[in-house]
Amino acid sequence: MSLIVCDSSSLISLSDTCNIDVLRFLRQHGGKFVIPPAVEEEIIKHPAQLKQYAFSAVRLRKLVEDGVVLTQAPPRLASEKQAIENAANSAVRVDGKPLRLIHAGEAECLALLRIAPQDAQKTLLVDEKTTRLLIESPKTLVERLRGEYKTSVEIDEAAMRAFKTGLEKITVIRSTELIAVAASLGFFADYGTAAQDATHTALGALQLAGCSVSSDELREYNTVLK
Amino acid sequence: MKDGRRRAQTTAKLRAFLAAKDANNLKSLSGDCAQHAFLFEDAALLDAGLLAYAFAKFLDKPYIVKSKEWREYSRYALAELEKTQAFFKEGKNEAGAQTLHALLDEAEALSATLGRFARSVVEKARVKAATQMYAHGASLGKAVEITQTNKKDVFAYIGGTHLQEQYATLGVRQRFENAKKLFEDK
Repeated sequence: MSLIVCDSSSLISLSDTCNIDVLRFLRQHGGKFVIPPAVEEEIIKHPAQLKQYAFSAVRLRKLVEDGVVLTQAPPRLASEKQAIENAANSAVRVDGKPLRLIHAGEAECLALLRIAPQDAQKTLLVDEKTTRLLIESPKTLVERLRGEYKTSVEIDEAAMRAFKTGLEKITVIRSTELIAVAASLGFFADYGTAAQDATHTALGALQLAGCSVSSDELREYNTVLK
Repeated sequence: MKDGRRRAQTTAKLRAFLAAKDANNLKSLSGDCAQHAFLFEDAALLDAGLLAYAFAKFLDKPYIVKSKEWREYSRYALAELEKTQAFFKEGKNEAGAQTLHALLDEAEALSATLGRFARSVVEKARVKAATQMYAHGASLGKAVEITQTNKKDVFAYIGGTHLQEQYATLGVRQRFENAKKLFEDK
């Protein structure tokens, strides 16, 4: 079983680029999309109160109502979320001072993955870069931060180990990977001869919507999806 | 550097750049303030940065600079910033923070009254500050939490910058193959 926990950043990118139906399509191909309550709050409940975002909230709510995206709140979620937030927010230090890197929503996504059964294929769908780098390559994050702060930026190894515990085997994907895989499975088939154009422009739109994907990576997708 | 001293120095710069009508330095100060507000978890520095950005945007618009309302507001702001600087120097951090926040509320009201802005100048400043924090390590959620703005607006703004170019890790082919495996069992 593959469990894909969705951070709000990816749902926002997909929604803002009119690609939210990719979740419906991939659900039919075995994807199990899950969100924690904090993400539901961020993408549905909070924006529903704001005129300019209410329609997006309705579309995302429909995905939850249709069972395409499931909200899960297992009993240990709050305590695991707190443990992850504490560890992540002590794991990188600037001149000895811990950087408060992540927020409750991102921590709750990771907590869901930590709690999930060990035999599940655990995947985090996230478009913002900090959570992804903490999982995939904290060293890359620290190198970039050294460039920004131009001072001592170090990893607190004990806090990083505490953060990584139970998250070692997680795969991280972004909305771009969802679109690319969906395209390879025929998501854009209705576009006929324009299907390839639709795929590449959809990927480009995700970058413009904020997804942390580089222009080199987008060019590489041209080759991968040929 | 102690918090009060940092705030006093920042307020002094904010006042000096406003007095000199120096929009470039105000914009640069707003970026520094966002970075420091994130690093030191200091809401007063965030407000100072939001004010710096708002002042810069007002100063960019000749029709605002020539208006009676701006002349009155800027005179008032200069006086209030002098008081704020003194509060911070004397360790009266709460009083200083409150004065800055009140100035920010008034800048927002001025933006609504005078501006031909589709969105409030202060709201734009929050989005810009959140982007600066994101560049300095904050996750999207953390940056939005601190600046009290909206994720969609911040992410869309980030999408128009070059920030995404810096954080590639795995190769695209590997990512694609990893993702493909998730959807193989119909």
